[in-house]
Amino acid sequence: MNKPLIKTVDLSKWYGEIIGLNSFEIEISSGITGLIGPNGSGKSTFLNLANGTLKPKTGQITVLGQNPWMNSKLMSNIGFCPDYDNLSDEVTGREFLELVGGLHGIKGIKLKNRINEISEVVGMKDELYRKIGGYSKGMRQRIKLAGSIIHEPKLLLLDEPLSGADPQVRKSLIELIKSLHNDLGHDIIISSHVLYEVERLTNKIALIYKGRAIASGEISEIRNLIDEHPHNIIIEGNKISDLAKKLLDMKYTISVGYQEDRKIIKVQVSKPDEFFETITELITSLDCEIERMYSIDDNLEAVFNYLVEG
Amino acid sequence: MGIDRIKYRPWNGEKSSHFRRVYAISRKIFFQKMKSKGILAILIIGIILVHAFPILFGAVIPHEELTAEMMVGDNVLIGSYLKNGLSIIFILLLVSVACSDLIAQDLNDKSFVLYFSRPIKTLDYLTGKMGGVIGVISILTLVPLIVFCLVMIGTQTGDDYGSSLNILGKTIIAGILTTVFFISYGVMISSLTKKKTYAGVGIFISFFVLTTIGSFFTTFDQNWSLVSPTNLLFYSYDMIYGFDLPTDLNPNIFGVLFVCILFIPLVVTYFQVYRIEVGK
Repeated sequence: MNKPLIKTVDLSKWYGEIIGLNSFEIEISSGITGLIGPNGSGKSTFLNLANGTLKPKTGQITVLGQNPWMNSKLMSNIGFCPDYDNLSDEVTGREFLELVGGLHGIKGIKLKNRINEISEVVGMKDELYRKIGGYSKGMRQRIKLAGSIIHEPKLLLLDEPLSGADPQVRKSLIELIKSLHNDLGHDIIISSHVLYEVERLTNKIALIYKGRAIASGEISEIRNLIDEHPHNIIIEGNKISDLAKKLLDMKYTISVGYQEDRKIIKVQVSKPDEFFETITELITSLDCEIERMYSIDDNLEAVFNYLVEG
Repeated sequence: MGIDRIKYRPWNGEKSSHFRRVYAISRKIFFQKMKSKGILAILIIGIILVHAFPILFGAVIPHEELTAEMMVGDNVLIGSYLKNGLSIIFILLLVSVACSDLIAQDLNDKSFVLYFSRPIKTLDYLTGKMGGVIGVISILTLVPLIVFCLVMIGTQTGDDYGSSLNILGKTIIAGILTTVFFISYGVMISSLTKKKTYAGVGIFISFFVLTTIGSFFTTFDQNWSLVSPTNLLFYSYDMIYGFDLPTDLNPNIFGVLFVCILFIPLVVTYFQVYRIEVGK
């Protein structure tokens, strides 16, 4: 049996009176693993403990067989893509990658070649000389991803990489993340609060709720549970009234409601998988300008409660 | 989208090049600062107002050799090149602008993760950051001093070049000391706040507050003049060039304050970054 990539034993981390993780126990093996949980469940805390930027209060965590805390050598084998955007607007994509490559000790012609390679991998080769301030949301995510793979790490930790992206960008990012595993062989742990995004990447998930790992394994069982609950999705953008009308005609739609100046719609669906399969096509055909789309995941909360009580 | 499997070749290079990683941070900081119009303006105006005239003047005035009196004494021709109040103001302005966001910006936008989720230790991070800003500040605190000395040596009428080169060496030490002296203070203030404006103003104001306190209490005891960072720096120049401290100053107090103002800010900065890196 393969050694686990990450193993935790009775791992806890709290910030003052706020609990980040509570007796968290998990084993994550090779491949792509989805870390699913609602906002504030402890996903980011877990990833920050795994990348050594947080110290556990109690318990143990081993990453690739080593304790990550203050273990700068281990960081050569880990690529981390944070959920927030701390890219400097004033630098170009190439300058950002030069810095990150330099932080890993890559230099000269090797660094230049490596930047050319990974910029091609993430589809940013033509944008490298533009300032990051002019990048779209999707481009910023791509350049962050490039920064996390520049040193060819064994393990990639991606914290909510799809958050806030529009459907087209999400689709392309999902393809990119898949290719990072399938073609380049990176083991990936990706956090999200939307099960259906992760489902497109992997069938291996771990559920995290209120700082505890409450279930892990195949996604299909969890999905069946979730399908029993209506799924709420928020869509923001311009010219979305046509989309709202069209959605009402779809079999999976339970209701569609407008919010705030008719620029936001809340869609309740019974079969989220069908919704996510068709929504990109609908948006393209109706020529809508979608700014954001995200799941409220009330239903996921219900499933978590069910699992915790069960 | 897609990946050309044949074209892709994973990087298998050296991953533990320590110096390279620190240099990458310094390089980024140096070029980022040198793109700032504010910093460029201070550098250009400072060099013209503080250094250009003494350098030109020194070149045309006949002199036998470069002497310590020209640097810190009361030379009849040059005055005291190093002990120049205007120079301190420009250095302080430059340090306030260049150091203000050095740590504060990372505190504000969580950029620490960019560094510490990679093979970078706290000391590497601080060395890299300070290295970059040392490069910038040196343009005002070290480079003109060397140019001045070289001009004076090049135009001297006497043949005691050994003595002049000795002064050049001491001047380089004085320039390095000035740079580190101001930067360690500036970086500490930057590590104490998330707002670079507060840090910038804090660096500038706190220097003047200490100077004012020193001046006020000097009437009671001359040792109070050592509370002023400027005086402390000027007295340390005297020591470097082989002059004695004024007799009414206690050398022990001078030593303690000098070590405190040079090293305590570095220690505070290290633990401040370390504390934040650890997380609360």
